[in-house]
Amino acid sequence: MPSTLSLTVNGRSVSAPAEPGERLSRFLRERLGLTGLKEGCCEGECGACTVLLDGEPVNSCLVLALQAEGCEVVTVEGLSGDGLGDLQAMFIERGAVQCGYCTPGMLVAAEGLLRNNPEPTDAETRSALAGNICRCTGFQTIIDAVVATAAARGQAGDAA
Amino acid sequence: MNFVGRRVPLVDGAAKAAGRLTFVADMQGTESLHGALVFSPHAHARIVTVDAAEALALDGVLGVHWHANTPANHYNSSIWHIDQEALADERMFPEIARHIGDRVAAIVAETEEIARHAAALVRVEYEALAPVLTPSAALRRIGPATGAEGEPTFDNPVAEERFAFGDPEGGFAAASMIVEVDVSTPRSHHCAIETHACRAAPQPDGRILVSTPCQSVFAVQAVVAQALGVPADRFRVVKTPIGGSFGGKAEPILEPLCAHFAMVYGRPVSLRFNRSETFVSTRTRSSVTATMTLGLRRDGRITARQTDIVVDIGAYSTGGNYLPGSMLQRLVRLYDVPAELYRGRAVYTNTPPTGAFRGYGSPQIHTVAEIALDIAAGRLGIDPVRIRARNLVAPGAIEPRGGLDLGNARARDCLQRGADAFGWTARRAIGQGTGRWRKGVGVACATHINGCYPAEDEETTATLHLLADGRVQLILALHDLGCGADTTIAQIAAESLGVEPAAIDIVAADTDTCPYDLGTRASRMTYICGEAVRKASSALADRIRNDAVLDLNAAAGDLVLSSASVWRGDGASLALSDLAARLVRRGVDLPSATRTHRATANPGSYAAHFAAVEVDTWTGSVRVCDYVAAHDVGRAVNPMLVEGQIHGGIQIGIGYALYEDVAIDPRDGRMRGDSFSRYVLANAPEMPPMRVLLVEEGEPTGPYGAKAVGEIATIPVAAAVVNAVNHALGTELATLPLSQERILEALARRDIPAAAE
Amino acid sequence: MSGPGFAAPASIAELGDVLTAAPRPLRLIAGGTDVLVAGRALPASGTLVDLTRIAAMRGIAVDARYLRIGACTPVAALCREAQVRALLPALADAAAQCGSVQIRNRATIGGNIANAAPAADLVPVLHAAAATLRILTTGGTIADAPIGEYLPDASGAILDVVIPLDPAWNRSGFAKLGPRREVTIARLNIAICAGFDGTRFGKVRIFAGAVAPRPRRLARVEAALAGRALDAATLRAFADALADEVNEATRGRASNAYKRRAVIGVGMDALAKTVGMDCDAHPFAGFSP
Repeated sequence: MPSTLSLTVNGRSVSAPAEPGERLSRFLRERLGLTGLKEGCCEGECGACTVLLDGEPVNSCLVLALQAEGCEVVTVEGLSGDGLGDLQAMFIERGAVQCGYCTPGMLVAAEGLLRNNPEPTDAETRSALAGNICRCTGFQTIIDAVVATAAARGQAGDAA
Repeated sequence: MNFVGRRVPLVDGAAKAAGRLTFVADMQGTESLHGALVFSPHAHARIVTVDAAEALALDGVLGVHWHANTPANHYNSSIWHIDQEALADERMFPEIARHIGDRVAAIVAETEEIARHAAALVRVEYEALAPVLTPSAALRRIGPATGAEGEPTFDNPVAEERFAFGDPEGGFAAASMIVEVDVSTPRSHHCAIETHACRAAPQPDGRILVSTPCQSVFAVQAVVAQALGVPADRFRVVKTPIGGSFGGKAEPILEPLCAHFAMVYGRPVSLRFNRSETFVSTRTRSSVTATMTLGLRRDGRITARQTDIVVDIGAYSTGGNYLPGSMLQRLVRLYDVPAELYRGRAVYTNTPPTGAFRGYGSPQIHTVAEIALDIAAGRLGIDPVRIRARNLVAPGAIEPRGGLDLGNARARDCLQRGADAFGWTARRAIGQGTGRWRKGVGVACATHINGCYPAEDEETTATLHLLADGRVQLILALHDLGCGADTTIAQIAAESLGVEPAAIDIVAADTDTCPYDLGTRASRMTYICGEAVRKASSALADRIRNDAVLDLNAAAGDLVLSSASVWRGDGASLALSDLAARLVRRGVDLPSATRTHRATANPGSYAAHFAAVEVDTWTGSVRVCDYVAAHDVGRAVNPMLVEGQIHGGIQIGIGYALYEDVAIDPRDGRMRGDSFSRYVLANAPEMPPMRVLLVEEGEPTGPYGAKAVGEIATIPVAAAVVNAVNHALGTELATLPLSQERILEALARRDIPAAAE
Repeated sequence: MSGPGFAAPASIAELGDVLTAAPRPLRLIAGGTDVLVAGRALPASGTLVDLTRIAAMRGIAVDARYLRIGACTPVAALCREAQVRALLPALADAAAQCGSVQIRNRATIGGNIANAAPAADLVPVLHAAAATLRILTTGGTIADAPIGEYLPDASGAILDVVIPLDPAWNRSGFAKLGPRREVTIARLNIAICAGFDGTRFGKVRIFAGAVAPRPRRLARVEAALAGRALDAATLRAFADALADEVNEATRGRASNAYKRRAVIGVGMDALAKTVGMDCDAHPFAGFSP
């Protein structure tokens, strides 16, 4: 029997039905139409379904939708406002996007890192993204883009 | 140059980064039916009956499909065009399952959840048959590959390629040393993050629209038609965005089933494999076992080479019967070998089928050859860079198999510049160190092709239209596999037209609207399609200048296209959008140009890779700590995307060297590495810093001098890493992947104390 | 397809009601990082019990005698909490090497125990630290059980993990070996708890993971260290005992030869951490296994 699930997604309060065994990834993709996040393995190994759950990166394929009752969820769709967010823009500029399938989860995981650690080193960034598999880029441009975004945010913060 | 040579960001980058690009799994709609498959748990078994009563009793289940109620046409999923003759040994649902993971049945239901639940309830009666699980067992099952009626026998070898060149006997006789090396490579998997998926929908005109992330819409159309026994014109195939392919989506797998179900039910049908299904029921890279024998002079010059290679192609032929020939073709384009003997055999086994995977035979054959050469160099006491420099082909070399000119082949430049950038000589001299951790450096070279000439009629046609809003539309069945080919092609088009690459409107590959093209394969996209686009855009630029003569009151030859405008020498200009509007008002057709490019060459792309490793002799762990890749790309249309290809190729190659293996159990045919937790690939902390050097000496036959990079990027990697490990340990390891077990075994076998001096 | 029901008790009392009365089968879910993995089907009926709403099952508390960790405390908190790092560094290390950031944010210490995977990273540490589990049984009663006596499928819900604090056990270390460095399933792991005064070992407990279905105590390896000075002879005895005991534990399995050799590397890393050496600085490099 579906229950009604109420939570905040990308800053908006939403309510929708969810089955007990339904994964949060499916709920977000199919009930809410947020198809940015992808399902790549359903075992928490690829990270393509990463969302922020109460501010922390999690694999949404390994969370039951009903476990997110009352929680705040941020998906890739929540990283852009009127235009692309700074991290997204840096990914494009640095060539950190190729096929785009891992990109939404990678961006959300990277955003989660930057919120906890505003000045990550290359090694810290690699560790933080170790649960996100990209098969196109060899990760180097992704790491560069995250570190460069952190630096740009730091400068913007200093200037302010 | 306006755009060629620039680091232009992806034309579809914003949609990808925003999560707004619609992949086929993102196409939703409640009207769509879903399918779920039942897979064989046996490596070889006759499917006697399928009992789906329990499944069919579920609410929302529409039907079950298996060999008894599905078109029984045999087909080959690797064909490229309609009615192409090929060894047709596949069926949508076979009567005899030939590998664990073979398709036995499918349930079609209202939702994916119901379909999967129902599929789990299907009972299948099997009659077990004896499986053939190893290439050596396969070679005991000898016979012609087809019977009198052309039906598949599944006897071996499926294909055999023999080649002799020069005087091998004399070459070996003249050698100061003969080195024989056995190398074997694993079955690896593409691991595109997007699993296989497809959607088919009946159209108002009664045809079926197949939407699929594929490498050739025309190949999909041809395979679907052959599998269903329905004329090809009943199917329209459109390419969707693709979440990585690497060859894994080159062959239609779900498309025939999906199209069939859409015809049966008259409703849209979606199929999507999960990760383990994508591992066991799509394609893998064929594994090889090879013996390579090199005759060498004391100075490292190769006098003769003999190769005997057995390719395990798995349960179905697909294009595997071409592999022995493809490997030979790639092998003979790298070194100037005066005498060559080659025998390649492809064999069936009752294991998941193999297909294209980034290099189509090249990663296997060059891994074999580069490890063998390094071991030979070691035994001769010659530096690995020097032995390669002594034998590499030079620009303008003619390869011995087809007599083709290798073009501006800059292999030696790659080797030299790469070695300098890496600091090869100094690092090689430092030594391995003592104690638990040992250091090593390794090098490997590679070559790959540019397109399908001369095996295929390698031609394509590009049409460019000036649109009424001033943008330019490109019609060519382009299949960007996610690496940015659309951007590269748009840059080439934009170069002569003077518009931003983003202003080139690229129509998705579509069998209804695009002229035939072979698709994205064989490293042909930039080299072949790019040249057609260069020619068409140059022609369109001429047309636009002519059409602007009246408005700008100048001779066409005095007009220049730039910044989306036509410019006169004195600075007066007319925006393309204004020109288009004026032409429309005057009733003049908007300018367009169509050009066909037919390739008459197949130059080589070249690379030299350098790896530094650190090996933990107590645990067998390898860390790749530094990496340099030098590539002869002719000219980089977009250096950022070229580097991206190389970076990604290194990731796949490091995995190939160290841990990627679907690990088929030789006792029962089960794939042990059928998930991302059991199939290990390099994640971010595993990757070394990578430096890329581009050798840009220009290829006269390529667009703006460009050559291919997509496949070669991964070809030398595994050998470079293996050679580095062998350098670190003083071993001759040649069985990939170099797992911790294999490294520790080798150290134990040599019975040297791991920490000895 | 009716499917299972869903219960999200907000307190231990409510959990007790669910455990005793909710429709069977019960499937307890905390972080979900094991239970929800593809290929492990959820029950078609019964009750999915979400444990993450119970505040009393989360958090870390320390008193003079015990380190208490709520069973639903996420693994990420174990690496973050200074008290864990100070009192049982092996647990903080094992937690830091457990899956990815995403996994650590959801996975719980109780789930790592209850899932009972042979390669679980936290469990050998908890064995070495002689942890006790406080369990709410399906009959609604609370019982304490040493971790070595815990039976995953029959026991009920783990409420707390209670680790005794004894100054005589002032050091701990953990090391693991997987096919890659991070986000990797252990092929071997070793946990050590010991007394060590800077030169000499006191009492020692050592467990190896991924060599048997459950963590295996390495009594002869313990004996090789206990009461001895950290010197070349002790290292030799330690390494030889490791190889022997892991050889016994893995007898008859194909990976035997590999694990017998590799365990020395993993054990030396765990030992280095136990005595406070930096593993990146190549400790014991002069040793020859």
